[in-house]
Amino acid sequence: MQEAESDIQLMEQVKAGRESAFKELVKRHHQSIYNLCYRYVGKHEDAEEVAQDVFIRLYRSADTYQPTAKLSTFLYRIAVNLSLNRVRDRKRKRWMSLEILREEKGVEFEGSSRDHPDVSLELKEKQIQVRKAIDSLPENQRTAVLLHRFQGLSYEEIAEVMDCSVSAVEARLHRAKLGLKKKLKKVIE
Amino acid sequence: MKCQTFKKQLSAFQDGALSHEKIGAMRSHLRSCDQCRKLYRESEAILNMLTMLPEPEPQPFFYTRLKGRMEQIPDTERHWIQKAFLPAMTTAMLTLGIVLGSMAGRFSDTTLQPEHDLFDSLPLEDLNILTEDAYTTGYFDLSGVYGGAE
Repeated sequence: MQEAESDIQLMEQVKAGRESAFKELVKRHHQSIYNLCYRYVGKHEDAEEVAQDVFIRLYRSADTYQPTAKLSTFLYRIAVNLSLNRVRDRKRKRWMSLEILREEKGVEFEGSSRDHPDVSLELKEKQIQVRKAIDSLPENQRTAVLLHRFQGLSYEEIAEVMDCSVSAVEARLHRAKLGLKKKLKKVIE
Repeated sequence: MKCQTFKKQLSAFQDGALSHEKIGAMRSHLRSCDQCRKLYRESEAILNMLTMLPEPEPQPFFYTRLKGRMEQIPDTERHWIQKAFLPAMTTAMLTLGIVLGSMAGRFSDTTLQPEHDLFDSLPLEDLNILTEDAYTTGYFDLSGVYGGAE
């Protein structure tokens, strides 16, 4: 049985113009990239659009891509940047829209209602609170939490994605947990 | 281990980022300190809340939609045009540059005119009235013109 080609080998083929190699890369990574984008933007449609942007960027950078790090690190880096851009853009437009009112009523959290229709109201409320608490974190801390707790990356991998030191990652996660504890203490009690 | 050290390392301990030795020290402190044990349980409860968030599922046929979008973006086409024609255009420009350069070289001859041209430019009457000094001057001038004097 033929051994699966590595991401780097596939990227070389994408450079040479092979669509099947690009398709395989998308197949391997789109779940994790979509998940990360969704954690940032909170809407399936937006998450899909940002995830598509990530892979379009990957395709366009094939000619200049250098395998100095894992491809997943490269993808996560693009996903973080594009997701944060989308969140910032949305925040700028929010004050003109009705999203603020919907969010205050707790309706703006399609994830729980769409994916788990049988989830109790109490649990849904807790999920909204957790989501708000994460969204309230500063960008660096939020990114560190999402990459570590939801994507399962190690401190070293997070440091590569965020282009910082391991000790900086540790500090951001520590501060993030303090911030989450402050916001969620009442929910626990 | 002091409580201050425990609190400082708690986050890394929960993330599984400590060495075996430090993990042992943390566990030992947890067994002996009620206050730190309470702190640990509160932190664990917060982290457990994060697992409450549902796992998002992407819609099927993601690649189909991605491909459709890429085909609509003009930049993608430009990218392919660049891949196909850029090498050919570069070669054509280089060739043109070489041809033009060699043609320009034929018209930029700065070498000196041969001897007969120089004397041809002087009228005969001027040659007749040359004094000795003038001859000497002319000789040195000629030497200078032909770059002859060593």
